[in-house]
Amino acid sequence: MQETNEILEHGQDYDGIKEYDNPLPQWFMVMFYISIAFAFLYMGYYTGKSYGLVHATPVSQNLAWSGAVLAEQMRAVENAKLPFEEPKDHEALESFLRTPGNISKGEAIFKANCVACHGEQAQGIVGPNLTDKFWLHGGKSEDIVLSITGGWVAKGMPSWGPVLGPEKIHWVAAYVLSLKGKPVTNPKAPQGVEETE
Amino acid sequence: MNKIRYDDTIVKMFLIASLFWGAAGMLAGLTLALQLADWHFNFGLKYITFGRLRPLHTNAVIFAFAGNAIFCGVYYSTQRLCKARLFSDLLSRIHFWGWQLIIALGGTSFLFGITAGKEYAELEWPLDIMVALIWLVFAFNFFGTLFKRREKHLYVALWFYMGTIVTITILHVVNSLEIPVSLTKSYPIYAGVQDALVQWWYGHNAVGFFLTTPFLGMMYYFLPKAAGRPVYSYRLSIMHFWALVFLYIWAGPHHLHYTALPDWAQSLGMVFSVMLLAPSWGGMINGLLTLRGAWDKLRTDPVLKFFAAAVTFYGMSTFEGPLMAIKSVNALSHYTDWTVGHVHNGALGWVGLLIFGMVYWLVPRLWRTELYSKSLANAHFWLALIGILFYIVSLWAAGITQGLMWKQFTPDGLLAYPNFVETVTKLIPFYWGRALGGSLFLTGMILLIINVIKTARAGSFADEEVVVPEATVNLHPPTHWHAVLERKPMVLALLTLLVILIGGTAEMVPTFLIKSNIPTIASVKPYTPLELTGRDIYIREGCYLCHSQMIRPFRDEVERYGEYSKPGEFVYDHPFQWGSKRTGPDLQRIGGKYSNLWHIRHLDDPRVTSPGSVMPRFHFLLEDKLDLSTLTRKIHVMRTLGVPYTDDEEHNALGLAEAQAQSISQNLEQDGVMGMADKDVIALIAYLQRMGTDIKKGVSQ
Repeated sequence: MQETNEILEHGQDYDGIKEYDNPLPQWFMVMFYISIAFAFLYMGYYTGKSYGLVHATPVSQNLAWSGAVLAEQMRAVENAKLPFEEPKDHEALESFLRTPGNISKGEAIFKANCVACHGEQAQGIVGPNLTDKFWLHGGKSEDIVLSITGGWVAKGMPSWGPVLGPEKIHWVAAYVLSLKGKPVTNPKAPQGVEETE
Repeated sequence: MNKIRYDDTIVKMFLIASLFWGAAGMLAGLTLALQLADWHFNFGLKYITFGRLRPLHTNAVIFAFAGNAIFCGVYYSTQRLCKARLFSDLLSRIHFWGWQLIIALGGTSFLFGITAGKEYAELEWPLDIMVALIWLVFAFNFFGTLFKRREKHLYVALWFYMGTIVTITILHVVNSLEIPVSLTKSYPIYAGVQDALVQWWYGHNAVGFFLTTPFLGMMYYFLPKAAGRPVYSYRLSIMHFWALVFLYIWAGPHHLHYTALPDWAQSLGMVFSVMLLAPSWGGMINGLLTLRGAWDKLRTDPVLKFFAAAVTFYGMSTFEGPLMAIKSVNALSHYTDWTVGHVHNGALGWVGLLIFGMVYWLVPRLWRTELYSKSLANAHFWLALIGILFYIVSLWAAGITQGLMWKQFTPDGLLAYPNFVETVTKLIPFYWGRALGGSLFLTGMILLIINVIKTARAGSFADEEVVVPEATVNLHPPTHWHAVLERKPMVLALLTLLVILIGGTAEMVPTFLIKSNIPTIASVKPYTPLELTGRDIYIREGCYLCHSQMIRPFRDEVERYGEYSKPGEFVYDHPFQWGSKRTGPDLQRIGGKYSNLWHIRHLDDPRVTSPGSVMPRFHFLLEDKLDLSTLTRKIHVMRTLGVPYTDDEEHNALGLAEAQAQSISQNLEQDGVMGMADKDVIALIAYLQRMGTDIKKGVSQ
């Protein structure tokens, strides 16, 4: 339909405002119909998926349709990883904790979970300074892994075992161990017992 | 033929009120922008911390600036389209002074932390009732004027006004149903998922029916008047009116994508948002094509400049809106500054510029003189335009930056930006850009006010006198089926009501009635009396304006915050506190994550535990005495709402609260923090330590 630019005659006087009786622009109506068609298709697809009629794959790693799909995603992430075997003895533990790759992964975990209490440089805020030689619950590799896993809940250190899992805990432990003697600004006063190598 | 006078005095009053509150609301907005760029702008004053000032800003610009402008434009145009003086001078005055009283009381109450804790619906129950009453006065006055009209046909502007009045009544009443605890505190009757659905049905349609339909109506009157051109298409106005009012109401759930709201409701919210694009653009097309043949005037007439830009911004925000409502886009944009940028695209660009255009058009007519300075008005236009661009570009960039940072993983499968603060400090330059944009916009507003004062001083105000026919004019029989409707205001209003009820009903009834939509979790129990008190402090301080309590089922969020949120976790949350923006991290799994001492230190000065944080200090929570005087009544109201507290918990609420406060305080004393047992902070800590932990008990059992 063509624009006519014909003035409508309702016999009205809208304070001098006039109206053309032009048809709706075609491209505009096409856009509207497409959006309506999309709505029906999407709702159909969605409903089909809810009833298991359509098998949907997530758009990308970061998107999920629902919690169920998230669980699937997380499983895929877990399965892609090599299974973690806890170091069997002291030597194995030491070598794991001294591996540079593990230390850098531990740093990321530390930043995510530990800086709030131990500080960005691990200098200690609410929690103790982790860069000095003083330890409240032991500074040996096994002690550190144990403290992180079980926490010291009464003192405000949460138990991270159920949150992080053994692999990440060993990474953090590697990072914490690497901090010994690191120079920091504003260190918290020593707490606990001085330990020497 | 007889002579009547239009009531232009009331138009003038609303116009002045709009500019006055508008400047105040924008100043509050600029302060908030500065607070995000640098926390020192909180000035250590509890009354203007971000969480208390933000409701003042949003409510002031929506209900005071835009609200008064709506009443100004509606009253001016309706009288002329009906060829009748307003129905009642008394009702007009009650409407005006009642609305200003609500604004003054509401603004003050927000600074004192009196809030219902639901965005854009923060007014507490006495003011909610006043709003409802004054709105009915407005409705009565408007429909009364329609009944004494001398022009049989209702022009399209009036349909939009009608849609506004009908829908806002329903939205406000349904979303504000609450049971009072005291004069300054109430609990909404809805909880959790249901409260969220009702709130965003309201919130989205406050945009739709308070910031869109009345302004479309005003566009249909003022734009052709100013351009001196016929409206492009009558048929288009019919189509986009009905499509808009029908589709808009369904779209609310797009504010709740990937949350604990049932998936089907989210999907409906998304597809209806997509379908809204065309009807919204219908308004833009009709506005812009009406300007055809008047484009040359744009160079000289500031009024048309404002209108053309306003309609263009309307087109842009109604394109951006459906885009952001698409689930996969929303996964990135939600909780970021992109949303805030989008809102201001519409609020500053569409609502703001349209109001400015209308004011520049009205002022010389009301005061019967020339505008004091055209060049000042042109300066205002460019300041506003550049200000908006600075604002939305900054926040768009900030939103995308932060959204991507949140989701970034390292090759080892770890979060690339594990510390939330890192994703905030990155945004500081954008926040300064936004503050610059806002200050340009506010400067323009001040130029407008100067221009209005100078024009008013030079001219002399008088109510316009016109000659009108004795009786209703009805020259031609209706030429079109819709034209029949256009002569029957009550039928048109009732049809609009029916059309807007469909969407809300279709989404709410199943969510409320079908149990499987909100699977219960046995281990989720009501908050203890002290935790409930702490939750009310959380609401009072507006924590929900920067912190969400809703972990979406995404890998990055589960990694960062913990187990994603389940619908059954919120069944005792009156009101829900899911939030809509993460300036700080999500708090749903904060319970047990840090020690009590950590919370004390962090609330006292967030920079101590989180260097770089932009959170205001809440040191006053460590000093202010905890008020438990209404606690028993609170538990009683909660029981009325169906929260399963025992008789003992109600009657011994004080004792229980004090005992829990003592135990937290003793824990703090071990770390050397004394004297917190009777302070506000103790209740807040109790709440924070409880939050999101019930579900874990369920797992361990």
